[in-house]
Formats: sequence, C-alpha cells, structure tokens
Amino acid sequence: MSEVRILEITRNVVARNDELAQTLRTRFGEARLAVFNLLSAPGSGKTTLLERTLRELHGRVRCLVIEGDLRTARDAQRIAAAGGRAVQIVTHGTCHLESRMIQGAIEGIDLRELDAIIIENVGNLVCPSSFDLGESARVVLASVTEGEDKPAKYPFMFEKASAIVLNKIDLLPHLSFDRKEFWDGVDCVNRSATRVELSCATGEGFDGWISWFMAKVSAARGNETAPASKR
Amino acid sequence: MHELSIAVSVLESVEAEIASRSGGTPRGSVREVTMRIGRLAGIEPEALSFAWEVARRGTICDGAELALDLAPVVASCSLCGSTFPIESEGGACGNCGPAAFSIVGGREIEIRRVMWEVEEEVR
Repeated sequence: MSEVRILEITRNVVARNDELAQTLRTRFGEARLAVFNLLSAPGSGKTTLLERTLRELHGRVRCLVIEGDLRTARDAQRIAAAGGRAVQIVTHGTCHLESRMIQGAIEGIDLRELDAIIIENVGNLVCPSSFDLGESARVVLASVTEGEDKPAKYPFMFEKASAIVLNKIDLLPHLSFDRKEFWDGVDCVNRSATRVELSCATGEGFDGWISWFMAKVSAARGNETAPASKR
Repeated sequence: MHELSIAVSVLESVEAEIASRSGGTPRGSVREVTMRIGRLAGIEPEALSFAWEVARRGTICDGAELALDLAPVVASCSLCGSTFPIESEGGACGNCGPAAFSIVGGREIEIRRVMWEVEEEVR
C-alpha cells in the first residue's frame, strides 16, 4: 500500500548560491579585497570601462578581471591587451554568472597578491541580478544610447547597485536621451547609490568613477573582516 | 534564460527533502511540485516547464507535474509603508502617489509544495 503525502515547505531555490556567495565574501574580506560585480545590458561598454580603468590604475591597484561571456574569450583578450590580468568564464549559453563559477575562477589564485577583483557579468539586465557572487559592491552600467527608460523597465537590476554609471555621454548632443527621466527612474528604487556620468571614449567624468572605485579599494584594504553589509 | 539550472536546483532540493524524510535514501516518487515564481525573478514559466520535463527524467521526480504559482510584483511606499502592485506600466502608492518605493515581492523562486507518493511503512 502506498499513500500520498503533501509536503508544505518553503525552499528558496537560489539559497545554495547565496550560501556559497557568503563564503566567498568572507574569503574576499579576509584577503582585504574589493570585489565589484559589473552588470549591464550588452553593448553598454563594460569592457571599454574596464580597459580604461585598468590603464588609469596601472601600478596603483592590482586587479584581477573575471570575464563572463557566452561564447568567446574576446573580452579577456582585450583586458590582457590593456595590461590587466583576466580569467575567462565561458558560460556556454548560460545567461548569468553564479558563485560556484567565481569559486572555480579564483582557484589557484593567491588573493593576497590582489587589491581588487572586477567581475564582468554576462550582458543581460534580467537574470544576473538574482545571483549574489560574493561581491562587496554591485555596479550597474547603462549608456545613453539605450534610452532613459531602463531603470523603470528593470528596477530590480538598479535596486541593489552601489554605483550607477551612465556611459557614452559624449553622444548626448546627437540623441534625445532624457537624463532627468533616467535618474528619476533610479530614484524610485535606489537613492543611496553613487551616480556617475561619463564617457569612456573621451574620458569626461571618468575621475568620478575612479575616485569611487579607489574609495572602495581603500575601504577593503582597511578592513580585516568581510564588508558583508556593503552589498 | 537560466530555467534549466533552476530546474536542476529544484530537483536537487526536492530529492534532499525526500531523502531527509525517508531515512537518508529517497524513496517513493514525486507526483507534483508546486513552485512560487515572482514576475521579477527572470523566469519564463514556459521555458521552466520545458526544462523541468527534460531535467526530471531518471530522478525521483520522473513523471511529476510542475505547477507554477506566479507572484505579482509588490512594492512598499517609502513614505507611508503601504504596499501596492507594480504592473508593466508602473505603479504608485494609493495614499502618496508617485514616490520612492522598494520592491518587497516578485522575486520569489521557491518550492512551496511537494506531493509525494510513498509506501506506508516509511516514516
């Protein structure tokens, strides 16, 4: 004889990812590392932002870049050409990075030889926001060519950001992009994030980004324990 | 787009749940799993159902239905704290009108109910 039992439970399906992310966050904290999770739509300029950042910080900050890409190692090659150290994760079609991929990427790397890790997530404004990677700061990059309605359409992506960077402002004279509408959309879900407008092409506004980045690196260097609250 | 990895995680969680209730080794079979999926969770219900049909083969959930309960996006007004739904065209607090809000519901990816068929003597 068999019976049918109904199990009323509540199990968060991404809980295992979150637990591993927390373990990574502790490790990064112990190594005094600032870890940035960089999120954007495809084509917002994530890799270009990193190339310029690495050039500016050359000799000042020891950075490792973890590149998430669907198919190719092209971005990692660009980072290496900019003088950066890069590890490529080819996700083979998966639309986001998970903490176990980060764990695999840093295997064999001496974290004490680093000051910062920048994780370039897969270009996607939906899925990556659900997956904590153990980062100390989440950076959302948007560009003026994408339209001002991105924060309103994808509030979840902007909600947890520590910094929101608006790129390609050199193109503003050629577009009808409404900056106020963009930042009003951000206001609805996130009033605490640092806001930067810049152009990776001309360098306009880039100082603001670098000083925010350096403040995070300095804060991590000064802390022996994990900055767990700075999600 | 990450529905297959979600489906696999669900199978692992259900198997662990059943195993813990049947003395270590999962016994019996699962007839139905009910999940609550928030509309902001980035999950396409049809894609998840399809991934489920593929992933369940050869597991304790082989043949089990996947029922999806879709949870609305719910926001909490930063001024008065009341909650209100966010539709595709946006939303605003009924008391305060357009104002800052935080999203308090709509990201759920949860297993809520498992229908498990098992021999009676198993405790």
